[in-house]
Amino acid sequence: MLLLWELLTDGTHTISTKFLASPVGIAEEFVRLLRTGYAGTPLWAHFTASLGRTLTGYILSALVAIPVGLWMGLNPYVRAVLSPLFNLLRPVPAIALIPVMVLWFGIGETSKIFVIFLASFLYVVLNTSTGVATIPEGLIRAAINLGANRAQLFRHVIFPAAMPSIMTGLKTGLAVSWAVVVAAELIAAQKGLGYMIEDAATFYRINDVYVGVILIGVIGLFMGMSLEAIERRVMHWAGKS
Amino acid sequence: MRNHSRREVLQLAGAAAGAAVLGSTHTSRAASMNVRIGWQPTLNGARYFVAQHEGLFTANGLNVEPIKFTSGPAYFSAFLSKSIDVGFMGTPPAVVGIAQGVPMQIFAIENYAPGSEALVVRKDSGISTLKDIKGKRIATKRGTSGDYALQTALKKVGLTLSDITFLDIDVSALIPAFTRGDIDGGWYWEPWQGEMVAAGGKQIVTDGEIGIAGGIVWVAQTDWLAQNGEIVERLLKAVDQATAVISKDPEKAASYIVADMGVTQDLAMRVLTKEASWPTMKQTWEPNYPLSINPASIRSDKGLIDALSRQADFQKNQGSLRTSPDFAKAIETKYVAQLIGAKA
Repeated sequence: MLLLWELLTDGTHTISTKFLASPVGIAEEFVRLLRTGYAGTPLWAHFTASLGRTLTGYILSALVAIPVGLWMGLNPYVRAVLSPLFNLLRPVPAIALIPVMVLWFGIGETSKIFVIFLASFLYVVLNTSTGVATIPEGLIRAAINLGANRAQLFRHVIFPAAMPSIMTGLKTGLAVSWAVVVAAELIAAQKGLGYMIEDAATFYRINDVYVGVILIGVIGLFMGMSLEAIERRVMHWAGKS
Repeated sequence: MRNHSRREVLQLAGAAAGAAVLGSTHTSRAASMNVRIGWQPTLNGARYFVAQHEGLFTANGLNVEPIKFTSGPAYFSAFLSKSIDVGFMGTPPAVVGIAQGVPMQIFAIENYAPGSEALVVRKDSGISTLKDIKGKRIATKRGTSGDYALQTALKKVGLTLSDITFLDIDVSALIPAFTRGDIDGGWYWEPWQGEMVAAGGKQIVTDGEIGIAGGIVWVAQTDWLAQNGEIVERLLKAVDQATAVISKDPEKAASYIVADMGVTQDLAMRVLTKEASWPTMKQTWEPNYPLSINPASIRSDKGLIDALSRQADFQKNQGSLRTSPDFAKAIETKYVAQLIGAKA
């Protein structure tokens, strides 16, 4: 596929490199960026800026969303109050929140991290509460009949049963966090892969745009794979009821 | 007999009005010509809005399909994919597009804007002259005319970018950041310059005052421009007629801008009458016009060429562009020449 791509662009010029950069062109640009950086900032600094923001926002969201989601799943009153609010917020694109975020949190890191936090939080909370609410009634009754108290019930029945759904939420949340970083970096970012893409588009440096897009894709893929490896290790019981 | 739709009636009325206004025979032809115009919400593109509201495009036998962009660089892909025919943009994005090989050419000047871009600071920033920005947090958007102005201004007072805290901020985040005090000041164009003043800011210096004013140019897809001379002529005629509306009745022209952009009438009036000016096509042909497209000016690197080349050199020094192109090849003056009866 790469060979065909190279042939169509650099090789035969069937597709102008103004539309689709050639693989060799992108690779050369990548090496150049590694050597000289982008806009005075080394490439690794753009990478760590984006990754740092994403992971901070994501981990915070997991820490808050799992307890809130569990509470929502266990308590129908809490669910009735919070669920409509979260459902209302979920379809709002992160980019639409930018002016409000700047007003609330300023142009520093907080506003960017909060955009990522919010996007991920809404997915983790949804999956967690659904996971708890859809546990078969019989499973819970059986545990109660066997004499489980509230803590035991939660620890040995509810949490493990909701875990696969929580994990799905965490995976979606991570993908969303990484995708949202580009939007978050429109908020007065001075570095980051999203910033790099946006700035390169301003100057129509199309090879830099492609390098940024590919890096984001590859890193996203790697992050997803890491989380799945963790899932296999932690949740050996999934799918074996 | 079928009924005429509202649109058809309007088009017929427009064509009739066009014939009356121009007294020319060829514009009264029933078939109007289609043109896709890329536009953006900038007060400096005033004649486009006036021409639309006054029905001047229709009167000249043009059927305009307007396509909205938020800034100049967004046009590039549209020109490459031939999804728009013409548009207007600031000189900095025009420089970037031409230098990067986007198939587009400049064919007319929209305005000259010495006062509609400026450094505006917070009253509590302690900045009262340009020199005072040393050590302050100053924002603009990289690659824009504001960026070019800020860095030229720094050089003028013997400072460099490292003497200030430079913040690259898009207009969408500017006013909240300015209001909160996250930045001490910003170098932006209208309507943001006026919005910062309205938010309690103080204007320090304009582009014109540091001698680097640019403006807005009309650009077209290169192939389309070569093949559609008649549409271009009609467009230029409509734009020229809009100039007359701005000079005769600026209040009315301002009200059109208010309707399209949601700015205040005061701000629109200030831009139209004080900060910027809209030349007739004839004026842009005069060799001493700041953005002159007279062939003599172009040959001697003056007027528009001078403004474009200086911006290209700046972007090259910044490392944002790798080449400084031959702008003479990117300017097509024959249509303006035909319109005003000059020799191209």
